[in-house]
Amino acid sequence: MSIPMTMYLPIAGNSVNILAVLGLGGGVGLLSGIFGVGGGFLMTPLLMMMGIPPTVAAASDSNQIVGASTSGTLIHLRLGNVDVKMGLLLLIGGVVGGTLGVQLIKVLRAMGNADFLISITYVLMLGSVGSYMFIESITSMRKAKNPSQKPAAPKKPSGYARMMASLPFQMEFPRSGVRMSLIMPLFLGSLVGVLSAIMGVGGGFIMVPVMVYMLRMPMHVVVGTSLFQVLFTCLNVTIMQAWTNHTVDFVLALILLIGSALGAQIGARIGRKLQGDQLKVYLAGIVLIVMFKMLYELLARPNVLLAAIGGH
Amino acid sequence: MRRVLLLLTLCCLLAPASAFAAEDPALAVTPPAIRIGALYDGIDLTVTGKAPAGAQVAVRLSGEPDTFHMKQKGKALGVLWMNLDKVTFTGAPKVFLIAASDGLPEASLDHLGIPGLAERITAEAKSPDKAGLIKEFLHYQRAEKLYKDHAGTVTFGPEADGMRPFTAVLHVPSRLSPGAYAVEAFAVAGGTETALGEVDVAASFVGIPAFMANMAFNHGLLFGVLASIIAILGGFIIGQLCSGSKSGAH
Repeated sequence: MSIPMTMYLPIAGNSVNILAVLGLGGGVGLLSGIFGVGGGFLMTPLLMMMGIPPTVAAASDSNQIVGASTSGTLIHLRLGNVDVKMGLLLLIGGVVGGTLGVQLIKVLRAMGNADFLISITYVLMLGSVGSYMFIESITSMRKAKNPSQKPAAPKKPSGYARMMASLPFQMEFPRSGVRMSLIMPLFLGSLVGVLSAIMGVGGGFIMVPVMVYMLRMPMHVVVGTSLFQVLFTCLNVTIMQAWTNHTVDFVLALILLIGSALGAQIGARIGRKLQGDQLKVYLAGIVLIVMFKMLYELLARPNVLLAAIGGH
Repeated sequence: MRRVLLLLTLCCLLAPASAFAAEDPALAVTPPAIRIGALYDGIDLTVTGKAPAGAQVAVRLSGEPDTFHMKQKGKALGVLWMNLDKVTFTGAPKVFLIAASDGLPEASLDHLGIPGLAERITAEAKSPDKAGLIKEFLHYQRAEKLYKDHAGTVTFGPEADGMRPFTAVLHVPSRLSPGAYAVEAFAVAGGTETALGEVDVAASFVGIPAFMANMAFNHGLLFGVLASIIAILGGFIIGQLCSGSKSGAH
């Protein structure tokens, strides 16, 4: 008697190999654990390569991220690494942005352009993040080889800092140790929310650099607050996608979650044994390979010159 | 009175047998219905029947004629391939699978198979090349594994009374959606195609897929809330089991 290894997913309208999905979740979770970044931005394109329709892959991945970020948020809350005030403002922005993103996907699905938008957004985001990580880690590795360089002289406040200070509704964020207008986290949260809905990612890999470089928050608070915000943003995206587009397959999400959680545990142990900058270069390489694959699909003549409108 | 009762009892006992003999189907399909359950991964339909000795046989499964709204891909900005003009195809089944015996003439396979299907499909589009669009539609359905020319095998049994029994096995893909389908068999001899019979086969969700599809498509909001709660509980339990880890995909 053989154990059945396939499972039918009625939302995706196809059957999948359970071990392959577990392996995919495990592989992305492994990378997530090794490199200390989210795996959502890799999960959706890999699901698409497995034959899951892009809209179902993106929505189900959001559902998976809800589970994955729950455990992380709880740990960081206990450690006091969550700026709840900042997180809530980012969250309000994220909910608005996520809702707009879901509506945008609905309109684009009706027009038949949703898959194209998801692909092009991925190419742009993967290209930007991959290139940034690659350059940043190479620079960091060079600096480590030449530690005798002089520190830069103090500069005048930049135009961005002056703009931040001039905005209305300024408030203190004691946990992060910053003061700024509430418009900033609301606006940036909305932006990440739109991308989150379109791409089916929690937005962590966009939100972390945004919080570090644009909101000037300390790194240890950034990670906890990012997880907190991502959890609720993806919660909203999951419910909206299920309600509006009927594209959430929670069985698929659950299998991915089990795989990614186990992979993340193994990855975290491997990650501790490797050097940080080298890891970043490897990850940047993976991200750029996925980006080039998707770019090729946009540039090369498709095998079939027709596409279905909608999906169900 | 006892004789009458005995006669009535005999009539009752013999009636189903005579009815069965009268119905003796020209074509039989096993299983008679496709149940798409949690472990469904496509299915082999076995079709049995009898054809005149010397005739070749083709067996096909097709859905009811449907309408497909699609987008034609073209180059945007002269560089990127994307969906452009809308195209509507009518008269095309969702699924079309055909299996034929080895000796079936190519012309008959074309007529009964996918090339012949092209004649029943119409396309509404801005493009004047309707035939090209229909050809592309058939290519699309082939790529989706929903249209297939050699979707199984047909084998023959020993000839008796001028007839040969045949058994066809059709490989039905996992992408089949719920609905009504028809299985037809044809005998081909001397260039003439004769219909041997038709059997209706219904495909439906059962068990978990039926429950999930009903929830997802008819109670979307509740489904989204439940999916979120299950994910949170799953994440919480996994987090507790793997306590001490700070990692979490985001």
